[in-house]
Amino acid sequence: MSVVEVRGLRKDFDSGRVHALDGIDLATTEGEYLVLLGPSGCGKTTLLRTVAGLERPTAGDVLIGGRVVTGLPPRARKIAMVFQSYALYPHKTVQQNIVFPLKASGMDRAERLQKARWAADLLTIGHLLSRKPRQLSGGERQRVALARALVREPTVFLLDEPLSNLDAKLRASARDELKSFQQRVGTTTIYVTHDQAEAMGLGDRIAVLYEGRVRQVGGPVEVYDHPADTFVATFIGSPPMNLVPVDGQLVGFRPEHLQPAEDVRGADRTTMPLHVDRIEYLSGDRHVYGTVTDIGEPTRVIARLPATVTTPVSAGETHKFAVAADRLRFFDAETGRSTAADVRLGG
Amino acid sequence: MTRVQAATGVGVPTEAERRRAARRHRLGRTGLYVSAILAALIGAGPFVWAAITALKQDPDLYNPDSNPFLFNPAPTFQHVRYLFDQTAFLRFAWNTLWVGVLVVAITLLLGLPAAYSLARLDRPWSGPMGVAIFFVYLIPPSLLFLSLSRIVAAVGLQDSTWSLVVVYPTITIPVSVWLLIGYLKSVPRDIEEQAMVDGYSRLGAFVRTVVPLALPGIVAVVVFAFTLTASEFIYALAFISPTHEKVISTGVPTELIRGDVFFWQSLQAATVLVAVPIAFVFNLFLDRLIAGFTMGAVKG
Amino acid sequence: MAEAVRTRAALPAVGARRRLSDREGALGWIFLLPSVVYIVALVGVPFVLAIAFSFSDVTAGDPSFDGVGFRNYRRIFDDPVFWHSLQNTLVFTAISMALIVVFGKVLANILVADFRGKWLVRFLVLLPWTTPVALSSIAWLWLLDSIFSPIDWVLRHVGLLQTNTYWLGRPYLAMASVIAVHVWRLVPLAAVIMLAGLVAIPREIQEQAEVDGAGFWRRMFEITIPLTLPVIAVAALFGAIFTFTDMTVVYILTRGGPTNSTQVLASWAFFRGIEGGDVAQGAAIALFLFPLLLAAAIAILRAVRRMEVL
Repeated sequence: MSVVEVRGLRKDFDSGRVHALDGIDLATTEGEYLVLLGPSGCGKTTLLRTVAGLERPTAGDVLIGGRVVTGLPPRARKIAMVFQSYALYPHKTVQQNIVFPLKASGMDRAERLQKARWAADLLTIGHLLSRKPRQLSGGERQRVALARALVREPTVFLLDEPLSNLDAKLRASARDELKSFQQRVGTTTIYVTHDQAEAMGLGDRIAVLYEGRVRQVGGPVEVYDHPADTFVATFIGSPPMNLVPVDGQLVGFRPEHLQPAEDVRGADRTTMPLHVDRIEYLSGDRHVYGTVTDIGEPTRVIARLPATVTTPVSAGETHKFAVAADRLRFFDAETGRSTAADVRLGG
Repeated sequence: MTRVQAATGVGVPTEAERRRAARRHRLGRTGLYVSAILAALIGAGPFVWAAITALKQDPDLYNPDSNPFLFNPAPTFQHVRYLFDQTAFLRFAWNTLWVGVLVVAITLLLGLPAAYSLARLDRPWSGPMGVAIFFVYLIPPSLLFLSLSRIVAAVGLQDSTWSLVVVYPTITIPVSVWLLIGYLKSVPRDIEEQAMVDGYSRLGAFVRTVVPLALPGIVAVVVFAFTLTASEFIYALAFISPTHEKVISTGVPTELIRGDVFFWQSLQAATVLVAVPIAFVFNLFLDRLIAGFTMGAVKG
Repeated sequence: MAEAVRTRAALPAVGARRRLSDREGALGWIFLLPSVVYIVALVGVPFVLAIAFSFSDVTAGDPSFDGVGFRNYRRIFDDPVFWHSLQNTLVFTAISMALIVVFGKVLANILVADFRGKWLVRFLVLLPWTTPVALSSIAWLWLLDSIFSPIDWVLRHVGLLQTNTYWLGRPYLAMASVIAVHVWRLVPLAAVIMLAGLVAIPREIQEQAEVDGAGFWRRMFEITIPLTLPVIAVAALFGAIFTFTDMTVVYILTRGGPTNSTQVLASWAFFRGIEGGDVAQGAAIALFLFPLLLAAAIAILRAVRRMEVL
């Protein structure tokens, strides 16, 4: 039985003119860390809020623990939510913040304090209990928000881009903490983000959303290696997948698979002359920007050469590059969806 | 390595709970509508009555048994016409209007730069000055009217509507400056600084970039100040006696109540005719005004 | 590369005097000065003058200024009407303030919600505040009339009343009527001010409280009210000032009657000073407004400062 499930979920805004959610079917497995990934406006936050009960769907159902909860207010759903800003009650101490959901559920004082202690210790913030939120750092605030979420022992955690407000340096360690926290606690988690690197790092499965619909659901490797459509292909991975129009189809290959022909072994490969525009040096890799003209329409592409590839390439010249055939992906030019058809390219 | 088992059986909602939640939601909505309607009735009730009263014929009105909500003999405009023809009502309205416009102009002329100074030019005395402005309201018209009427007489403005133009800004400037500070602060500094980089002086940047952007807020302050001016009573009563020079606030009560004789229908007609347009315009700018109070009261 | 540098326009001479419109220090003062001068002239000076009057014998008939020491103060302290007015002022203001804050909060909560016809409700609810106070008092004068009151008519028809309620003729009823009109008039203003505070609470905090399981009342008392306390204080302050210093409602509704039971300091000062012609005494009476108001304002502001949370 899936912990959280949505069936045929639709949400319209602006008297039906905006389809924030356009028919979503999704189910989580127990204890998994599911990431909802997509650009702003794709519906991922709306979906999260609908699961939470903060938005009422126009059509469709939300199920938690196998029971239909559509129409029930958030507090009847046994969920916990962490907002982007952490939404800590500014006038209450850390302890009062953590204890608040338990107060609302009518637990008596002694039990409340005991539970708060337990959650605070789990997140190593026991020494901060009498502080106010404005006295805490970003990382500490995240831990308080998690402790408050944890304390009700909910069926599911809903996290809405909780790392966006942290500065870059802090983000990496906070991400690490988040992941180990979830593994320790084992509660099903639904996590919203627009950062594909974050999604790849955190998720057991990733659901890529765009324009109110789920484009693909799968583990990080699957979504990366076998994108279901051009949107997923170009949204995930940095730099994005190269797409070249060839005979009414789109042929895709990732920058790290586009290497100088000398470095691509194997018989089954496609070669293409690449006219090099410029080269960027990033963390030991070389990003080669240029245009390929021979295989289809002239297209700007990027090749990512790791430090181990030392073949000299210079700007302004044309160099022969190649991609292994099993690394090519094919997409329909009109719909963008992945096709199984192979297009033989002259090699 | 604790593993928290999420309880999936206990506390999971049932169909009955869903129905109860839906009912509670409906009840909440109904409650909201009922309170909104109640509030509207209490707020506007007296004006509805006033409107009905204004059109009643004398025998209908001066009959304690006749229904105050209905017209027993047919409604008549005769008293409304009396208001316009036989009293100086139009004169009062005109006086209130031009006094209001001038007072608002003076308020902006003096208040906008003052607000800018306190909002943008971070001088060390800016903070305390902002609070000091408010303390002006602790010295109210009901205290100052005696000495001010002496001063007004000494200056030769006794019995002239111009006395109000001179004195009313004391009431409008403090709160207007307070609100304007909020609106001006809401315009990002970058825009001004961009204008200064582009070649304008501070003053020029202010006039060209900040004022246009804060314009909706400024209009809200204009409306608010105007309502304060139109509503003022004590100064108008103390300074001005001749009918000709009165404003609506004092003219209507004094001219339509002659000793024991109340021209009720005309009085109520005047009340409604003045109340409705002012409330309408105020409502138009209410959102802006709330934004200003947010800036001032919450962050100031 | 070098050519580009040379063709750059010559920089203005360093050390040239900045134009007035750029000098911030001077500009700050110049911008503020007109308002300050104006207020000092038309508020500060009359204030001092009022104090001077209270120690003089100035009347409408005899405008010559002669110092008389504390005579006026002794006179008003001997006058029971003065004490009655003082008491009334405090009582009316205290009761009105409490009611204004409570009803204002309720109205603010109504106005913050979304519902059909909201614009119309807003318009109707604003009428009491936006109408000139003299005119709305006249509307109430009719509603509370001793013979023709529509309120009495309704009560009679519903069976709750036999004859007439002398709303403005009996002391306690008259006081209640004056308080009622003050509250009716100021609740919209208080609601608008508190609405500003409600709107300033981040939506995520309200939603977090919902998700955390708090119902309507818990959210109201543990989250909303604590976070809007400063704004509630501002609304209370405005309500207090406008009620405390107002003479119009009393003037129009009851003229201080019956037998001075609704007389307040502001109206009493007016009657004594203008209609009675005793400017000096009027000034002395009115001066009591200031210290009381100052004390109340300081108390409220200090309370807010202690509650500074964000």
